[in-house]
Amino acid sequence: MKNFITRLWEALFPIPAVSAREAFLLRALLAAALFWFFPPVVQWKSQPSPVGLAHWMDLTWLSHPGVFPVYRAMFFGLLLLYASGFALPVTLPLMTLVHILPPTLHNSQGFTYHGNQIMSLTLVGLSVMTLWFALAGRKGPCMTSGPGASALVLGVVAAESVLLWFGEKSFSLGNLCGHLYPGGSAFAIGCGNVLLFMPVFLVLAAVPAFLTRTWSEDGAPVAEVRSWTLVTAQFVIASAYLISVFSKFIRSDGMWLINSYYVALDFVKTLRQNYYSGLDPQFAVDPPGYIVTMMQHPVLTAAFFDIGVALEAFMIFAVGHRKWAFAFGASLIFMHCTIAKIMNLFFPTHVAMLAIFWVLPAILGRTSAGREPAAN
Amino acid sequence: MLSHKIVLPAAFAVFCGFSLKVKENFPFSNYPMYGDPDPVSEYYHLADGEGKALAVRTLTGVTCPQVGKILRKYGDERGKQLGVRRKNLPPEEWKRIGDKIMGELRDKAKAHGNALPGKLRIMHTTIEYKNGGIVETPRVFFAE
Repeated sequence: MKNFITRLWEALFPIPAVSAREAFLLRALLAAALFWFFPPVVQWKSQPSPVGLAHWMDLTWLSHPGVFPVYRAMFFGLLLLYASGFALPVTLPLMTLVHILPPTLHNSQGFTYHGNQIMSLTLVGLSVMTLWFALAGRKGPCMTSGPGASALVLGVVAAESVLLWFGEKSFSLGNLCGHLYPGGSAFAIGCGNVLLFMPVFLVLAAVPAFLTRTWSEDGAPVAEVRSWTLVTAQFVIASAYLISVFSKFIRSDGMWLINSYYVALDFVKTLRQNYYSGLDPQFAVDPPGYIVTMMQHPVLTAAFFDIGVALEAFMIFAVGHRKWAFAFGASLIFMHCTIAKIMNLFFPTHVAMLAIFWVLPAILGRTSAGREPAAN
Repeated sequence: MLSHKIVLPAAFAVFCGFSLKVKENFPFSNYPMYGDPDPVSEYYHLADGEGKALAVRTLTGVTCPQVGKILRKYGDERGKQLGVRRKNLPPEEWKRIGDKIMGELRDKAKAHGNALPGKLRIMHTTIEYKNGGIVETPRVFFAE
């Protein structure tokens, strides 16, 4: 028994080795996802119920004429700097702040919108981690470029962010496939857009990354910071899911697992809410027959929902394990896709974050194979 | 130096406790959605004075579920001030909350270049499983 507990303890939260190339790909993919989901406009002219930073500052300036396009261009520049690994202790917290402000204003309207929440929260975690290493100075500053190289990187990034901004305005960079094949199905165009956009963004991010020498194993950020980037992102995402489990048990007085089959009724609610939001005729339909079937079989239905909650509750133990993280990440993506199919309720930012930090590391890990694990 | 096997669970406990305490304060959240499965589900939608549904998102930028969230939030806040649960708020308090929300929706519609009808209603519909079928029961929750 003691041996078993010792082995469990040893297996808990390993710190995986992350190569410079894998770290670059993780940063670039995160930056691409942040670009993809960043709001195109800010429409809110007031903040009647301030939340978060809006308690201390008026954020309505974001909706002033001409402000947000410049703000977006700035954000694109920060994304490229982050992806390249340039001056992360400065770039990352700044990018986090810029990412947080628009959804904070959105959430200050009296209702909650979780669209970008998991991304902002992960960025907060990564910023704290990066600043901790930079301020502790244990591994030296997380930047290696000299003044000349830095100026060159900043110039390249400025040019690229203008290109991104102009590309988005003139031919909509995120909808390349839609322009090329306007008659295609929405699903095919959506997949095509992502597949075309990713290589374009990766190439743009690779140029400053090459200039900052983040390709090199002895470049910045150092091995320990690279490892902790992956662990921190996984940790924040898993914690967010686990907090939702705690809330379920608190709000239902511990009865969630037994009463979970009533969630099937919320499928009808979502259908109706989708209709009444825009009076869209595609949602003006009777509730699907499977809702009644689910209510007729409460034990099976509860078991179905409880499996999802079990995934959310136990994924924390997969942090740092590439294969286990893949299993939990892929299962949760499947869960989100199932919910989207039967409830018309999709969380694309959650799926993106799971894909980048939980599923892909099992594949990208090959680039880190054989390297020394980072010091604990 | 503390082991990361101590630091991570400690950070996790602090993070969870903090998130549950501050609730919805972006970017932190306690994720209350679908937290209390109930035999009766419910939703709200906006209608004109005759009860005809209005496309609230198109007109104001606020979606149908967000109307319900605003109602619940203001109800919770007022209930906290009065020391009663939201569901026990007296009708005159809900009237005040309804008037406040209508004012805000009109402001948002104006910002979108739209105008809402002179008289508005908030409709409340319950959803239940009864006698082998789904039963939906609408009622007028608030009317100007």
